[in-house]
Amino acid sequence: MNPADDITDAIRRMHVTTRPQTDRRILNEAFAALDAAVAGDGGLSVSGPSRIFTLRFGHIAAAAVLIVGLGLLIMTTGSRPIAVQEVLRAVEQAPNLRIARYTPDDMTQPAQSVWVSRDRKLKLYDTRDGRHRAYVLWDADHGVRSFRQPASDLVARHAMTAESRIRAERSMTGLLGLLPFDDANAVPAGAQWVAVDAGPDSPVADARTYDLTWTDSGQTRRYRFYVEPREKLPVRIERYVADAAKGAETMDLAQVITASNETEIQSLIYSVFGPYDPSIELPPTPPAFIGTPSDY
Amino acid sequence: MSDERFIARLKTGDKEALRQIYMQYKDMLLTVATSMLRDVHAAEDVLQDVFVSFASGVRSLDVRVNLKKYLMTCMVNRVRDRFRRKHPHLVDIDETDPPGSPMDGPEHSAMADEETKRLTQAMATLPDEQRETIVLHLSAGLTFREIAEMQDISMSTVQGRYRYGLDKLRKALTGEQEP
Repeated sequence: MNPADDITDAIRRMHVTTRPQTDRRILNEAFAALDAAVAGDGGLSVSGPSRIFTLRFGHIAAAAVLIVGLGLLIMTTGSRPIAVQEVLRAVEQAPNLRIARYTPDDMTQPAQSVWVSRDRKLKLYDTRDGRHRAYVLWDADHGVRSFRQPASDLVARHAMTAESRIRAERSMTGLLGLLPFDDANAVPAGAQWVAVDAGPDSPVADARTYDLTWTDSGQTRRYRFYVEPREKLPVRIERYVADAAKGAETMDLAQVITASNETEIQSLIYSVFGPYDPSIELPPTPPAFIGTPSDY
Repeated sequence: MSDERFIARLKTGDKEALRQIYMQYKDMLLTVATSMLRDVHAAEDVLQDVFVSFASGVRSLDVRVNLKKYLMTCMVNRVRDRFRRKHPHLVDIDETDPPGSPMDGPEHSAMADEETKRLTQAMATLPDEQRETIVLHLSAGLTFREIAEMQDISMSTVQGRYRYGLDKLRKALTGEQEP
């Protein structure tokens, strides 16, 4: 039968099933977790400011119980603490920023760098993915999306749709995708903001370190902030996720934030795309480009 | 047995209750995860992650929770985490190579029929959010309202993604070109 004949029925019939040995493996792991949970082996280790906040994967549920309802709890390190709202507002109010995102696969060069100029409504992405490297520029003021792939030297410019223009503008406001919520007012209810001592191995010298932790659909989310104490700008934000295989949390994303400026951003755009001629009539954005920003 | 009874039994450490919940929902969760991730190995990892986390958190589980919706939400969150881990914040660049079929390779551990393979290959051409909406509605049986709540978007956006996604899928399966 051709599935296109009745596509919805065909999708409803789609079925993937596990093998018996997979069921046994998963159930054994789940039974062990259930035993531990019911036996009360679920204590949460939330230490004072002199020790690093740690969570074992098996303890997520207990963390949820303690965190829910506490609201934003601020703990001090001796000097005046920095509140989470101050840090997030510093991001929201910075006129120009560069965000470099690193994955554990390669901490030496960013998987993606993003420059944002809020005054000029520009956002430039430099993305590496294995063999691929691409630059994408959103120019919301002019309504132009530019794309360049250095390997093939492909350069394309398209007029943005009204919808994509609005989305691009919106993506340049708020927290710029550093966190999975839009702005400082959207910090999840029950989130906990805790000062920690990152110790001598801290990746950022002279920074204050905080953990922002909350639960979402039963899953603990933790972001570690390294905050520059004078401007209150986070200079590095690390994201931690539960790793079932290791039974612990691991860092899966490091975002390094630096203040940029108009000159740097304009020079970079010019070096990548060359001069922009607004008199050239642009083709409309092809459908596949609609909604391209994938920040979250 | 009702969800409430299952959860009450789980809270006493009843492994048979956990086994029954797993057997009831595993294929639905795996089908959705495979469609979204396009990788059965990764989908099985997510399935394991969901159930281990579910069992770990049983003490704080609300007895009134809708198990199907709860497990599906946990699964979708973990699938999204996988996407972020693999391509954190990456711009969706359509010049990259098309993704391979999740059923490629001789060692895949899940079993799927021919129709599933063809559909999954066609669905691999959809944007993530359209594919997610379609499988949550058709494979998992969630309503548009439930999907909107899960994704924190409007119902009209969900309906739009569903409609556009199905349209693209039809064209992919019939070989019709995009306009």
